[in-house]
Amino acid sequence: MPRVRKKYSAKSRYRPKKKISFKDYLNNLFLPGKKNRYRPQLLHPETLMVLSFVVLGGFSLFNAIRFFPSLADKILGFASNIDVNRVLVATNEERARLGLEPLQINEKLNQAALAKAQHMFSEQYWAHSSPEGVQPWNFIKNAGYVYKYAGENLARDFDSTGEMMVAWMNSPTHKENVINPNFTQIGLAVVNGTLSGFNTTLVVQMFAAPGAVEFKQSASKESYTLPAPADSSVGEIPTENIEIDVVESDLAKVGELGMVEGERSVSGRILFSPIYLTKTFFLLVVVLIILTLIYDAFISKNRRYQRVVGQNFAHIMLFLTVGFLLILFRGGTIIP
Amino acid sequence: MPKLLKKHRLAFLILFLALAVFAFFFSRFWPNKMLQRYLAVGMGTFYFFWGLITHVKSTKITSDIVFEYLAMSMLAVLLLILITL
Repeated sequence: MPRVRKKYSAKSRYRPKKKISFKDYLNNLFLPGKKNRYRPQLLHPETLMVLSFVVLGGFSLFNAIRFFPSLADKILGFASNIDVNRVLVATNEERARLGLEPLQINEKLNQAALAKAQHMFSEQYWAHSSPEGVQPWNFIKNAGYVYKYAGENLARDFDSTGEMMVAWMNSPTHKENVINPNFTQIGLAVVNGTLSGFNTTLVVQMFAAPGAVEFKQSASKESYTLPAPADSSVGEIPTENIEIDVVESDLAKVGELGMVEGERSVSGRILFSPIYLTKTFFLLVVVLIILTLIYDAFISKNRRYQRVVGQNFAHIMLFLTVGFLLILFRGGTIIP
Repeated sequence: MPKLLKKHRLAFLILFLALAVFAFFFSRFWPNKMLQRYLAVGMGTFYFFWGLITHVKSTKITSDIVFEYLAMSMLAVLLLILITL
């Protein structure tokens, strides 16, 4: 008696569904075979595109935490371990290498640096000049300091003082400020806050040489126009008698050396730095691809598959380079 | 693998040098993130065309290979650009 084979129409609700086990799914994803055209599904262009969207989604998710400030403070904290004392020591070390005199901390410059940092947070900008045109020199002036020369260095989101100093010394304009022999005094501020929704640590250095003028603590409204500096972060005014408004700032917290340190994170310690969280996620993706490529090359060679695919070795070289750069990548931004 | 390396010795040497130069400048340009992004795009573009040229020379190229190199390059560039944001 001939065997009768059941036929199912395309629309039949009773059509048997082929169940794919988790093991089959993994095999298809990582093991080259007939089902995936002798190339692991993970290395197919369409899967790589999906992986790109997963990377983008993961990155967006990390950044979405910023919309929940209490959660962001608890999970991410502030990424910086920058210490104002170390900034001063490192700055003077760079000067000492060139035989220059060390910079002395000046309380008014500290106030100016803190006021600048807090102005950036309150007005939500990241620049030497505010969108309304407030110049760095205005903060120095408002702190009651009259200068002959003045300069400003800004940095944000650096993990450590050392990395920040390296970044400044790699930038000609910032280096010029650090090793400028005209400067004799410095003010520093390290302030945590939220900039464009991100927990950010701002570092402000105000360099100056005092001008030979007398202070007059009055509420004079005499206009005070500072000359436009050649460099966006360096200014100079002639030494002459000028009346200025002195604004006493009550925002500063003075540290051991009289330097200003802003408020620390809510949690007080870093649970996960945003940059390390992102790096770890990206490195996992890179390692996954490299291991799949190696496994694919090994299997296809052993089973002698004849196929026309991209060069695994080249892909491995590319992703090793990407992985290497991700490991070495350092956070932090300075304004050129 | 050694056979493959021998066959495409010059191509892999060029790729190795290009990636080494790229890695050097990517590190050197820090903390100028905009330059790092341009460099990452340049590296991705180079890798894509390197793959195509290498395969065209060996007379083995299909649309799958083109898309594979495109997807690999895009993923690499995406990772490097996102980390600089």
